[in-house]
Amino acid sequence: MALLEIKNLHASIDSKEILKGVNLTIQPGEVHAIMGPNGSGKSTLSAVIAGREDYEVTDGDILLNGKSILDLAPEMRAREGIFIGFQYPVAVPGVNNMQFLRTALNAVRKHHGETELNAADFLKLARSEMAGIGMNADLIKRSLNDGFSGGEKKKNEILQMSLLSPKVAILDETDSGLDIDALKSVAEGVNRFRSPEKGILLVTHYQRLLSYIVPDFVHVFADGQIQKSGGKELAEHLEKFGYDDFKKDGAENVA
Amino acid sequence: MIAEKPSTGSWLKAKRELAYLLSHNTYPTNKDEDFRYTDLSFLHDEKFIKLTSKASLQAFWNEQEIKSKSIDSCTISNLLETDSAEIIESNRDFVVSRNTLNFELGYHIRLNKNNNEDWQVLKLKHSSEQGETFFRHLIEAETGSKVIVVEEFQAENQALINSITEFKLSQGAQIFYIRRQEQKPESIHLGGVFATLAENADFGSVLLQSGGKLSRITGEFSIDGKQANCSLKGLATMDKTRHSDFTVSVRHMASNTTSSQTFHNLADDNSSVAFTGLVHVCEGISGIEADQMNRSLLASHDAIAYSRPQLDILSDDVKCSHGSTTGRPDDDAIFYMRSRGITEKIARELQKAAFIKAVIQIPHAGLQKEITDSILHDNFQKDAEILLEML
Ligand SMILES: Nc1ncnc2c1ncn2[C@@H]1O[C@H](COP(=O)(O)OP(=O)(O)OP(=O)(O)O)[C@@H](O)[C@H]1O
Ligand SMILES: [Mg+2]
Repeated sequence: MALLEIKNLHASIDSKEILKGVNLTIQPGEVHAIMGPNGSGKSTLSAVIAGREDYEVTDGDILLNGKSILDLAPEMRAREGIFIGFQYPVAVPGVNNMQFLRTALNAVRKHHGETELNAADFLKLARSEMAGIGMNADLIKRSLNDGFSGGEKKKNEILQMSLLSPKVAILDETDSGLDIDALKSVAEGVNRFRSPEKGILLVTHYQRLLSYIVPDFVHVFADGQIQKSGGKELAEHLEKFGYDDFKKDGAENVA
Repeated sequence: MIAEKPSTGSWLKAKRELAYLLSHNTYPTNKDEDFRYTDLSFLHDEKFIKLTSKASLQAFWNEQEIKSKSIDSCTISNLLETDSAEIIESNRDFVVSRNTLNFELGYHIRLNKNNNEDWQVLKLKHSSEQGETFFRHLIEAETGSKVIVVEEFQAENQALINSITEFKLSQGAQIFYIRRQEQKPESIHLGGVFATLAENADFGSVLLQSGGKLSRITGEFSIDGKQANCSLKGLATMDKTRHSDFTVSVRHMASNTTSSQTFHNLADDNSSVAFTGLVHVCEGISGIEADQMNRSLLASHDAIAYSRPQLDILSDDVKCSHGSTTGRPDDDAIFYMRSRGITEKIARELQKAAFIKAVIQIPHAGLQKEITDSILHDNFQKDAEILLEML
C-alpha cells in the first residue's frame, strides 16, 4: 500500500484556486523531490497536507496508509505520522523549546500507546539528535524559534523531525538559508531518517541539496500541478534550463 | 493583628475636611479625564454599596501572623491611632478622597533595617463580605530594609473594596510590592498604590488584577532621589463583561534615575481592559532612563483594549522608549504547534499563558512559583499543569 497518496487535489484560499489537481504517490522508503517556480503552490501543498484550515479542499483526497486524512485536525495528522518542516518556522515567544518538543513527542507516543518520556530521558535523546545535525545545544533551552537565525530555525525543524519520527516528512525548502556546512549536516540528518518504512518529500530550489540527499523521483511543480516527473537527472536539467518549458503564463519570466 | 475602630487623630480630621470639600464623597463620571475609561457614577445607584461593611484585615510577617506591635524589623500599628502621619493629599482623585474620608481599617507600618540579606515577606490579607470597605496603609521603609509586601484582596459578590497603600522609601530602601486582586466576579475593586523614593531606593512591583466585575488601580510614583529605580509590572486577565483599568504615572524628579512600566492586559469574551501610563521627567535633571510598554491581547473579537501611553519630558538627557501593542492570538503560531501534535486548546492557552507569565517576575522563588501557579490555575484549571511545564 502506498504510504502517502495525493489524488487530484484541488485547494483554494479566499476562493482563489492554488492547487489545481495534484497527483502524487509516495511508497514506503521513497524520497521525492519537488522543484518549481516561486508562487506555484508548493508551500500551499504542504500546508494543505498538514491541515491548515485557511485552505479549502474543493476536490480530491489525501490518503495516509490508504486512509483519508482530510477530516483529521492538524494535531491528529501529526500524531498519525505527518510532519512538515516549514519554509518559515514560526517563533513562539515564552514557550520553552525543550518542553514544547517533549510535550509534542509524548502526545505522539501516547497516541501510539507508547510510554511517555521523562525530562531526563528526553534531554538525552534530544542532545544526541542535536549533536547529529550540528545544532547548538543552548537552542533547546530558549523560547521556541524565538530570535533563532534562519539556519537555526531550519535545524530546529530537522530536530523535531528526528524526534517525532513521523511516517512521512515533507521538508519545505529546509535547505534555504543554510550555510554549506549546515546543509551537509542537515542532509546527513535526513539521510539517517531515511529508511525502508519512511517517506520523504523534499521541496527545494537547488540541485545542491539533491546531491546530498539523492531522490528516487523528481517532480516539476508549476501552476498548482505536477507538470512532469522523472529521476534525479530531471533536477540537473532544471538547474541548467530553468522552468520556462513548464510555465503557462510566463509570469516569472522576466527575459 | 486585627485593626479595631479607634478615635480619630486630629491630623486625620483636617485631611478629611479637605477631602470632603474636594469630592463631596461622590464617585466620578468618565467626564473626569482620569476616569475616561472607567465611569464610576453608577456606584451611586448600586444597592449593595449601602450595606454595612463586613471586612477583615490580617498581617503576616514571613508567614507568621502578626499579633503584637512589632516583630523582627517590622513595627505595626493601627493607622487611625497614630498621633501623626503624613498621607497623600486627597486632591489626587475621587477614589483617594473617598478613601481618606471613610477608611476604618489600615496599618501604619515601619520597616526597619533588615536583620539579614534576604527578602523579608510582609503579607496583608484583606477581605470583605459585603458593602463598601475602605482599607488604608502607610508603609515607611527605612534605610537597609528589603521587604516584599504582598497584598491580597478577597471579596464576596456584594462587596466593593477601596484600598490605598502608600509607601515612603528612605535612602537605599528596597521594596517589592505585589498586589493580588482575586475578588468574586460581581465585586468591585478600587484604589491604588502611591510611593515616594529617596536616593538609591528601589521599588519594584507586580499589580495583578484577575477578579471583580470592575477594577481600577491608580499608581503614582515619585522618584525624588538620585540613583533610585522604579520598576512596575502589571497584569489584568479579564473575561465575560468584566473591566479592568490601570492608571499609572512615574515622575522623575532627580538625576540618574531609572523606571520601567510593563503592563499586559488580556481580554476575553466581551471584557475590556484599559491602560493609561505617564512618564514625567522634570526640567534640569539628567541621566534618565525610562521604559514604558503596554501590550494587550484580545482573545475574542468582542473584547476591547484601550491604551494611552504618555510622555511628558522636559529634559534633554533622557533615554526613553515607549510603546503599545494590541494583538490577537497568533494563528500561525497556533497552527505551528498543532502541526507538531499539540491540541488546538492547549496551543491557544499557551499563547495566553506565555503572555501572562512574562510579567510575573518576583525576586523570591517561592512566591514566584506560588503566584504563577495560582494565576495559571485560575485561568486554565486542569490544563495549568501542562502549560506550566511548557513555559
Ligand atoms: N490568502 C491568499 N490569497 C490569495 N493568494 C494567496 C493567499 N495565500 C497564498 N496565496 C498565493 O498562492 C500562491 C502559492 O503560494 P505558495 O507559498 O504555495 O508558493 P510556493 O510555490 O511555495 O513559492 P516559493 O517557492 O516562493 O516558496 C502564491 O501566488 C500566493 O501569492
Ligand atoms: Mg514555498
